[in-house]
Amino acid sequence: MLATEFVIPLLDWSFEIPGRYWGYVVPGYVIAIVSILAYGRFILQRSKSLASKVPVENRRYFSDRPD
Amino acid sequence: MNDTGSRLTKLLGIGALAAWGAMMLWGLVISGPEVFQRDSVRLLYIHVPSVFAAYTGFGITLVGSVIYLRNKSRFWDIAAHAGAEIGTLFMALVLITGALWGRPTWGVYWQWDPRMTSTAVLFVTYLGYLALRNLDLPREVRSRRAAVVGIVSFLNVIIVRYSVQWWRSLHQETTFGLDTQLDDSMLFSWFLGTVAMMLTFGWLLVHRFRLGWLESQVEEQQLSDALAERRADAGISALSASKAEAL
Repeated sequence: MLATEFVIPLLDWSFEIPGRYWGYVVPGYVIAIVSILAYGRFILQRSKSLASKVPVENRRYFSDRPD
Repeated sequence: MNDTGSRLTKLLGIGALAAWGAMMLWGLVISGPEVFQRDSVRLLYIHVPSVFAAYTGFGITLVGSVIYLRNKSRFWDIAAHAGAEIGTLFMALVLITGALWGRPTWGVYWQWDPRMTSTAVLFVTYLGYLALRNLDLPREVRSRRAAVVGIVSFLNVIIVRYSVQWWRSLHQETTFGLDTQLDDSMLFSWFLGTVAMMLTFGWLLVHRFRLGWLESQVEEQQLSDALAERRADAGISALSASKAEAL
């Protein structure tokens, strides 16, 4: 609903601005960056909550040096 | 430094940020619009590299799944899971940026043509793989089933890759290759996009793998705690029963 009622008309409108075709480009970059950052943050937050439950000696592959 | 960070992730992270900055400078500012696609060509500097990152993730899942089935390596099991999760993220970006590029170029966001349909099926297949990973099953069973699905799912990558050659498709054939003839600034923007996406992929992969290792350790700990509790309960019951018998 949100996409058909609001987002797509907004993209189409921005595409119609004379001489500018950025209406699709900038949202594409924003979506890509925000998605990657959100996923990265999710991983870091989750590892933070689990790290306290795992002793340091059980963290294989956490060092760049081969085990 | 965070819990899954190291010197490697630091280098990958800094490299990815620098490459993203350079790619956006070249892709959005320095390089010009394309003759037919105009400015929407700039979406291809993230769309095509996202495909590479997604395929790399699914390739890691394939390799990890094969090795897991051969020697039950926990390392490769976790790597396979991490590859699929990150690959699915990049595949979602492929679908979104592709739709955004399709509207000004083809006049439609979506068309059920062979390339797009097979890509959507690929995305859903790996969502299924991730759902399977979250099933409440013994780890060995879950990993074995996921490994089989991880191997079978990769067949669709081949179908997606060659769909534009096997069937009549709205999607153009492979644009970027060794014999690509593109304006230098466009080619360089695409190259920077590829470097940015692959460094980002590497950064996410290392962190996700280490998170997977933590999850497996916690799961193992919970299992051994539950077993110990059960043994203790059984021990107490046995003791009570023997006392009752003695009386």
